[in-house]
Amino acid sequence: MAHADCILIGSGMMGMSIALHLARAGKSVIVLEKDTIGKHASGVNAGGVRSLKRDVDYLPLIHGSLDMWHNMEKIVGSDCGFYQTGYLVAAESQEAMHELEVRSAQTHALGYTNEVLVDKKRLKQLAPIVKEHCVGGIVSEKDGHASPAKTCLAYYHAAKQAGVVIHTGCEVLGVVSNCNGFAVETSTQGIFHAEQVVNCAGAWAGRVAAMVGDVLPIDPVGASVMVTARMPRLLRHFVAVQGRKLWFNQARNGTLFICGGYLADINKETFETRMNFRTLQECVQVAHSLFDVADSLTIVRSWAGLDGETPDLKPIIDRSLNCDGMMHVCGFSKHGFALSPMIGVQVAAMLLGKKKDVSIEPFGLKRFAAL
Amino acid sequence: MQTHWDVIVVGAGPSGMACAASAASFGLNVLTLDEQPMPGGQLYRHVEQQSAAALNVFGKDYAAGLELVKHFRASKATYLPEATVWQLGDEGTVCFSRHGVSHEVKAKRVVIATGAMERPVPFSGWTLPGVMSAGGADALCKSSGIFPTGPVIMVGSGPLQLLVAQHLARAGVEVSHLLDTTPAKALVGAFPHLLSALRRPFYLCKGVGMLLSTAKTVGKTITGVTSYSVGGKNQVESLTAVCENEEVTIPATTVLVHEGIISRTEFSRQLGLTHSWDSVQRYWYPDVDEYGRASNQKVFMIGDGAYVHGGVAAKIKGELAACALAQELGAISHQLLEEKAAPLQAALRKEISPRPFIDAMYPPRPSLYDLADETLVCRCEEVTAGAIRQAIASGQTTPEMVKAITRCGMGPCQGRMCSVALNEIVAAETQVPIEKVNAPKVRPPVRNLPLGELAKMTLLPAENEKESA
Repeated sequence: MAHADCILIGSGMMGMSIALHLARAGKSVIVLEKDTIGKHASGVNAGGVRSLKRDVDYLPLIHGSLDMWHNMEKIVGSDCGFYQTGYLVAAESQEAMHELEVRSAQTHALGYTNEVLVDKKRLKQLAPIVKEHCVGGIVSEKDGHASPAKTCLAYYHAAKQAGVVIHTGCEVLGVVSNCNGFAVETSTQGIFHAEQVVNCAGAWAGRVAAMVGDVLPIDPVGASVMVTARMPRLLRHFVAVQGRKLWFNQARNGTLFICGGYLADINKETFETRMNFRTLQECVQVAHSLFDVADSLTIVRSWAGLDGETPDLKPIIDRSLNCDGMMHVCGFSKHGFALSPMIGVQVAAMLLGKKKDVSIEPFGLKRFAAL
Repeated sequence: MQTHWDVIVVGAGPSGMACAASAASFGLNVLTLDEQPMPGGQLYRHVEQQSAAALNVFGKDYAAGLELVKHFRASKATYLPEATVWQLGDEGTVCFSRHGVSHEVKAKRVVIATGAMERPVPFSGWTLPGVMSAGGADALCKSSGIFPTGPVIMVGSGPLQLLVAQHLARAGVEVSHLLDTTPAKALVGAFPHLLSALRRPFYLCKGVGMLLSTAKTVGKTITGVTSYSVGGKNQVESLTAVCENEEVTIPATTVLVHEGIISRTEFSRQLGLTHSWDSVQRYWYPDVDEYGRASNQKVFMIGDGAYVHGGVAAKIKGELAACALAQELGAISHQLLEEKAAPLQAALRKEISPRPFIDAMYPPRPSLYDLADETLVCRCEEVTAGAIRQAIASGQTTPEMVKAITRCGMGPCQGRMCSVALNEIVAAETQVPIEKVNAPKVRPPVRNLPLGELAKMTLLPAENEKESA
């Protein structure tokens, strides 16, 4: 098939999620992937599915997604390794506790009741490893952890089953807009044609946008994750401390994930990543200062998944300003995985000609007009 | 601790010792880091501390290492034993852990001399207590004087197996059976290389000597074994071998396995150096030039880690690298480099001339990775061959993808024991030539690292970050 209603560039979670819902709505869809399925941030992130303390702009999307995460078996035929862990942020001082109180009130006012304050005693019950001086915290029990690799695989199979044609190892070399839509030239499969093209190319989204003359403010970014050797059960929740850059959680198999947006080095030409032990050290120093248990942990592995980052760290979910039929869904700035199920639904609806949903309005391209 | 060096050598086996001592003799400022408590590597492990009786057990070639160790000890190279390197950087940085403290040091050139390892081959029962690799058992004999209690069954193929059998016999350990898996056709393949091998007849004589001595000392030798497994509840109780379509089961308490030797490439892969595939012995080795220069201009790979040529060749490769290091770092002229290198290169050519013959004599048998579905491949994460095949069938067509879904290679050993088998299974199932199958990435740290050590260590200030871009 060299022609489709829609071509998606990139087989990360955004591309696959959009493709799945388009195909289920009866559209013919082709996904073009230069590497393998979910090879970058989508497949190798820390797997956190969090609404807690997420910017209010995302609340409709993340809560929509959370409802889907809790029902993945029905949506894609696999639980995607998702299970409810809960998320918890501890406060080290009364000031920090006050910030959490403001946050809880803000979300409640918007109609989201899952972010609940806990006192010192309850905090200690929920996460005994948190240091004594913490005065309380905020908890969202609805949040959880998914397996990125299993999620990508499940979406891949569901998309294929829905009729999506997926080409891996197939790099897009050029996108040309013509009177019938687009001609998309690839490295291995020749030229494909489609009425619509969606740029879901993650770290490479800036390069893809440039093919149609769009300039997107996207830089490649790699957030580091460290994993430890297995430990006896220490905690159930993803745990963070207000004002500190750290997420700490224990997977079901006992290994602990330590991350917090610490960056790997990226070669700006080749996009190759290298772990940066200076930033990893910062990360473990924070862990060390917050959790006594840190001294008994052993780091087994670290890696960084490549994503695209925008100046305001918010994604771009919008139609191209200068090229009809082209859409950009990218720039998720290290936090797109949890949102991807709902973004697939919303973007597919938009592409099917339904009205632009309110939930994706904050992520328009116009906000960069001043750049 | 001095942080900046001309040369850092990782590993104090034959090539590392020779390289460090020789580079220091050119006036270079050399640091050698080695994981073991004393120099020698696998080949000359603990050679300094052996009694005359023990030296007799391990033979003349082993005792000959003493001279190299003494030469290395007497050299001006700084030597840190018990130092576990866990990370190499593109720009010559080396992170290592020693006595519970981690350090970062940096050199103008880094020499990776981490040697070879026995090819890890899973089979049914391989994780049962009582199963060991022949080389591992030999290392234990050398370092601790602990010999296996007989009767020992040896199974597999390769010169090292014969050597270990000889050591055991001399130490009075009974080897009841030697089950040889060397393919019968191998001799035909080896024959064209015989002439080259005769340039260095020493190894042929040594090989024949080992064959004759094992024939005398081993209770029973069975050749043409095509597969084997071990059984037992909490410990090895029996070994079953298939030979000419017949099954033989032998009671067993200790089984020593050996399936050949391959280069250790975790550091070269972590650094993203380019590699080539050896189609006879089936392993990846880093691309290096005649001096050991790898595809990163600050990195040298020498010894068996660059290609398995054996210990004597490793020493020469170390000396050759030292000459190139001295020239690159301004200690000697280019002309002097060529003068010094010429006799070493001639010696190396002669030394390795029997290698194609030996390699062709003992190729890995074709059925090496025809594992039953229930055979454990990754022991850290308990992933079976069947689980890997299932993942491949569901569309995970690269080792990296299979790893992500099955967790094969994600445990504490970081895939050192299973990634070879994983690659072979992926190649077989997807029918992609093995040399086109990309092994999973080596994720840092290359060795497990206590979190507190990273938190407390002093890292060198970052250099101009744009350098690599």
